Amino acid sequence: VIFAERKPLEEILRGLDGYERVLVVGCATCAAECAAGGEPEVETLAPLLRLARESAGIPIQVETAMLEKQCEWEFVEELADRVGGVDAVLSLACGIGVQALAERFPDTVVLPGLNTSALTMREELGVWASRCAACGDCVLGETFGLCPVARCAKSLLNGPCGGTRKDGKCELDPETDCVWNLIVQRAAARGQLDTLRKIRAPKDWSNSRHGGPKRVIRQEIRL
Amino acid sequence: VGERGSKGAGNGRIVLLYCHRTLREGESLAGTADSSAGLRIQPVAISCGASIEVSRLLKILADGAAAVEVVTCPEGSCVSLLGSRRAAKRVDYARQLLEEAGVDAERIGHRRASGATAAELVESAAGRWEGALAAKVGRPAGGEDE
Repeated sequence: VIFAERKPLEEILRGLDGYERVLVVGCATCAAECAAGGEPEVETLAPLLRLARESAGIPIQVETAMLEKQCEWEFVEELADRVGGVDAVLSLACGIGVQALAERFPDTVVLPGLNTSALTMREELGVWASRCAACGDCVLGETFGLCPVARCAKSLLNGPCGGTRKDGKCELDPETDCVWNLIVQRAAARGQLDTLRKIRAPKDWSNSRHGGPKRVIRQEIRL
Repeated sequence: VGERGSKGAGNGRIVLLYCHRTLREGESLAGTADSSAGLRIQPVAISCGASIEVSRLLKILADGAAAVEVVTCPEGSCVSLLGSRRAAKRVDYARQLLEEAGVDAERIGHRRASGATAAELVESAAGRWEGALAAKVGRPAGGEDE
């Protein structure tokens, strides 16, 4: 899922300075999956904002709403009757959702409540870890299904580096597996260590964000 | 039992969310009760500590309660196995959020009990106020002052 985390409350409150009626909008897809913008988080943040502002002596009215997806116009439209009644909308979605709301409701103040940071997989309850960097030039076929771009701190295509710990963890974080150590282990298990001797050439980054904003048009899908 | 109250930390009741299994057999906590110190305690029975949600705890406070006391079974005797542990973690998280919001975290508390009398739970909830909050934010209305 697209991974996002709630901004520090102080930053959210600073953004809401001067507003008396706020609509907190969650997203039931990725932001919910990463426990940042689902219904529980929306319904937690709403009373928390009220308590914080009440404590500061500046009460605030907080309404809540959940959209199935904030990145699809059909769902965003559900807010059309509600945004006019508030001073600001606080989006608990990824950056795509925030922009969709801002684009659909250009006269409304739309603020981000989350920081979007990665493409992750939930490894276990309460633990998320990077799995993809959206690099636009997938090498998973050469690395035994383990992504060195997203999971190596240095995004090395030819690893491991010299910093792998003796227990197979990354030198930067003792809790994180060195992905190149995992790649070597998987290659060995398949009897294909030799394939890792090949030097992988620099990737083509032009299909990632380094190539500028992406806009894809597929005529066979368009009407 | 409803949980709404008037606004403000010094202007509400103390809500007691208790797992019904923490009560001694034959004991009953129905309706609002007054502690021996005259504080108004609003008991709300829950099916298990596992049903406690952070949002609910915060909403109770935002809707005007002075404090929330959560009472669950001892960790090893929760019928849902992990309910009591889950409740403890959620209470801890709610307290963290209160601190982040600049609100006294002592307004939410958790204790474990087994075979308690109704009076013991009421006094426990009152103790949360008397022990931690009364000196900071004043006595909540709804008790003997009301």
